[in-house]
Amino acid sequence: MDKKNYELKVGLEIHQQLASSTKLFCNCNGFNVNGNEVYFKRILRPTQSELGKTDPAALFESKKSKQMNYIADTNTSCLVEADEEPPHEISQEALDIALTISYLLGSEPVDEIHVMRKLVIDGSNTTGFQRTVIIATGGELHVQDLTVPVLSISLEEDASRIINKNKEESTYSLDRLSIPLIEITLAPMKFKKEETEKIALTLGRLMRTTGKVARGIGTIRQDVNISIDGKNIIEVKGVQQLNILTDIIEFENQRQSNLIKIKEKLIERGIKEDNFNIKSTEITNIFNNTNSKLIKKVLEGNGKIIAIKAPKFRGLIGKEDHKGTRLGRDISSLVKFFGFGGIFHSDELPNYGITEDECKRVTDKLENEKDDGFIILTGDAENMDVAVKSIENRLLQCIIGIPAETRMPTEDGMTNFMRPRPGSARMYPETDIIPVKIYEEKRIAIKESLPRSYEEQIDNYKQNIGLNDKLSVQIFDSRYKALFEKLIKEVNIPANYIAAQLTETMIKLSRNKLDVTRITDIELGKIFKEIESGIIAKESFETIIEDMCRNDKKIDEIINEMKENRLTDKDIEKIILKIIDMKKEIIKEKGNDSFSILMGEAMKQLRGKVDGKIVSDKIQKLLNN
Amino acid sequence: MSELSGYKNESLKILNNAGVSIGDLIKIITKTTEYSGNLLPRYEYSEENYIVIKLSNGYNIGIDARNITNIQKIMSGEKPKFSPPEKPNVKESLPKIAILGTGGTIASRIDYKTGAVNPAFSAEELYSIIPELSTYANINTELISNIASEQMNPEDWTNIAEKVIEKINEGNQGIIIGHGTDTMAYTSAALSFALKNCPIPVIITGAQRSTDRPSSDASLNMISSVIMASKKVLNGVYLAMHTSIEDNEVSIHSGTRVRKNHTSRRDAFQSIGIDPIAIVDHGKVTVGEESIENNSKFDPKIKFEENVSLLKFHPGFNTEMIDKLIELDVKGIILEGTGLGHVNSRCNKSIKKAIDNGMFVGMTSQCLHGRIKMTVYSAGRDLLSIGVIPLEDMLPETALVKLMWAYGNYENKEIKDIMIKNIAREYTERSILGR
Repeated sequence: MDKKNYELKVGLEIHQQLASSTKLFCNCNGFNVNGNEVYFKRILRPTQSELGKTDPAALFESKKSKQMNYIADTNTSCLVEADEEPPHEISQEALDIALTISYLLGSEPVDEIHVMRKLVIDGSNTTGFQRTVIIATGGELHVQDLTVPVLSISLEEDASRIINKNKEESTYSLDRLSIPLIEITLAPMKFKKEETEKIALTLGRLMRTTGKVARGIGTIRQDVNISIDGKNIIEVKGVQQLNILTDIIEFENQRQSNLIKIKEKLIERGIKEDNFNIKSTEITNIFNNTNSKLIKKVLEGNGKIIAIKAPKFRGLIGKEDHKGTRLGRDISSLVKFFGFGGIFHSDELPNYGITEDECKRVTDKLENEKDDGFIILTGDAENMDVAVKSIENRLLQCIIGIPAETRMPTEDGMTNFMRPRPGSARMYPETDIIPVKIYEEKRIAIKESLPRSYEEQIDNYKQNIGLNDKLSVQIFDSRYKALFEKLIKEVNIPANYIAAQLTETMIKLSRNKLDVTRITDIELGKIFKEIESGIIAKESFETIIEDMCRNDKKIDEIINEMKENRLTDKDIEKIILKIIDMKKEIIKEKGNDSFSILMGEAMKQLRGKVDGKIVSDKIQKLLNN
Repeated sequence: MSELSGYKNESLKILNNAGVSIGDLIKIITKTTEYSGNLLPRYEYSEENYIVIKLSNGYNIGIDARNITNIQKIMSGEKPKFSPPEKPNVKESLPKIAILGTGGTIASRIDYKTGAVNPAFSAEELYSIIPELSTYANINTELISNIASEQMNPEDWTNIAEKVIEKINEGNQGIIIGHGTDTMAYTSAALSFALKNCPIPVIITGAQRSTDRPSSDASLNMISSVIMASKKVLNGVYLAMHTSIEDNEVSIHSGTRVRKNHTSRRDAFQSIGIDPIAIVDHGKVTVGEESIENNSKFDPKIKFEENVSLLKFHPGFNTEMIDKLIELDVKGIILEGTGLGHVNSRCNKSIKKAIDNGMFVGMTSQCLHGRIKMTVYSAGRDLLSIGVIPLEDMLPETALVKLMWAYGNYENKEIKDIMIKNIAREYTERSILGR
């Protein structure tokens, strides 16, 4: 193959949830799961295009996943998520965050935004489509010396969370549905392993400078677009770890190269789109007396056997220069999508108990010539037509080269067919929402209030707020960045203390398997306010969070208890005087040096109830008397 | 579609100058950036200075014409080719069902190039979009009007009724009427009176979610209506819509006892004061206790008199409204009173004047649920004494439609008798416990 024309290019597509106070098209807050649960069932049907055809994969999905079950939390979802009410206007807050990020990347916002519907009928959207809108195009991400062009920035609804999926039904939770997501599509770049990681990190931090992006598991997801022919892009969904990313990219490189080789070989063998004589025929009879256990099992279960002619494919279906990249595996994963176990193909037969004679009868029946191959599909008769059609289509695509697909990563760094890539053909306007203009005043207002860069913000933490290096980075990267910045303005306690509690203490507690994410910013704010007022001792932060998580206690309840049990100055003095009395011998002996002994004794009794500073002041005062 | 549909003034001028038309692949250069995409039509209502294109990734964007410095045509657009689906093999032995379209869409196709949603209505198209229909019925379709339901007038009810009679005469065993949901319950009430003792099932149905979305309720409503019509278990006029927000059961409501009680939910339509007459659940029809055996002679009376009025009483109600209606020669008034059937006594003088002028004045309740009883309080007794007619538990909208129908088909002297006679289950004889 001509190396010059093919170059491995990899583009990242980052999806980041925005921490806006509402969902994208209604006033629910998607992060506040605490209401009652409502359940309902739905069926999605594919819509038809002008061409009078429905996408076979879409049609199949609708036939297959007959039923969708939805679990809705009444706090995080309303009739809009249930597709029982038209969407409200697009969230201005989310739009502003997206515009801010666009300007940070030097992207140019479009003049008028049009909300689109992207068809997705797997049930992850109750409507059967995902609402998405392009906000800006162009721009650049600077990663040290490297410049990565930005293709587009869009704002879209997050999908529902899958809870359970089987052949008959899928169950989704609606809490995540319609939380605003910003999608940043970076231009495909010549692939360099170490750069990809840096690009993802830099972009993540650039978005976090706004203080308005969600943090935590599942709040940022990246898809990776891999192409070697520069035209047809393979989208691999939801790659999480960066080490696997490299394996996947290499696997796709090899798989796509193999497809190009197949295409070139087919052309060499004289195949063109117009003489691509594909056909399929039932061959169940040929196997009436077969010894193949696999085939016997199919026939016992009322299944049938179909052979599909693969013109000029002999030797190409099983060809594999790199583990897992053979065309046969691709076709196999395609039919698995339609609920079949797999396929047999001419390059691997005779085998699996299928004899040479049986193979010959198949080739005769298909009127195969020397270079022709075949594929055998066995199984349940009901869905056979769709699967056969999709195999035929897949073979036909081999003359074009690499079909644009959405694929999913496997744990061992390969990829499997997931669905045809939803391209422009699956988008149409959301007619319930009128287009929104982005006026000059808004542009100016956003440009004038852009957040400072990552470096500047870290510098500010260090220089002006007095955080150490480690805490500066930690609090910046944490989910509590915005809360921290608010608290240092509102409460008069040391910034290092607040930052350490919000990062180190919270991380420690979550390592101890406590779900600290359920504690809201408002609750945390109350704790720090009461620390400032002296009701809560600094040392108690950790135990209070533990109490809230483990015993499901409300913060107001804890504060009230503390207020009730609060020691008055007199109570404290009484305790200290008692200690002084007990230790009077030592005091006589050691004089002022006895302070640390008294302090230690007093804190034994007062830890968590009174701030250490107050105790020490009181001891000093009482000693001096 | 005209060449530059929807564009006006400045944007129309620059598109004309560039010599481009809808669908063309064009490149637009603005002061700050450039875009390429296919030119789309502009919706009539939207602001005029913007040009809309579809980018190659499928997204639409609007570009402010005032920022555009140049437009170039890259390629002419292709017209979408629509190849209608073939008609499936439908067994001749299946019941013959007519599907009438009045407006709104029962099914639609999307033109992905422009994003336009086009209604699909031929039998072939319906079979291809809702393939289940072919297992239940031999359908034939006819589009009788194409108006949104809030634009419908009583004369449209007459047209629909005429068409239903025609379809009955053609030997159809059931008729489905696709209808916009806003005034669907008015139409169902109108047809219930107009097609009294209808010999076949006439089922009005629609959708609360547009048919261009995979989650539309239209298909299940249509399938269930066709099943209901094909089973030949109930004759008469019914309204079929989702029972709940789930896609499983469809309720078959009595045409006169149903009301749209929600702006957007799938289960917006509810029977009031009675249960739905039947439920269709996954192809199975369960007929409830309140179905009525109907063996009387089909007696269509399909005219409607528009010149009647429905007045909702409220605190601060201006009694001159009634005087004005008298001046307008309105033939009769349905009052939507409070509670058991009351209005402020300062209205009594005008009401009396109306009745003295020969107008029919009937009382319904804005409570919607429950029966009128005007003998309990003096306000009600006073109204009774001046001749206001209590209309039992008739829904206000149904009472209005009935009054239109009564004046359309009967002499003035007969109106009162017709209005208090139960013709199409418009009121119940007993207020059932537990509803």
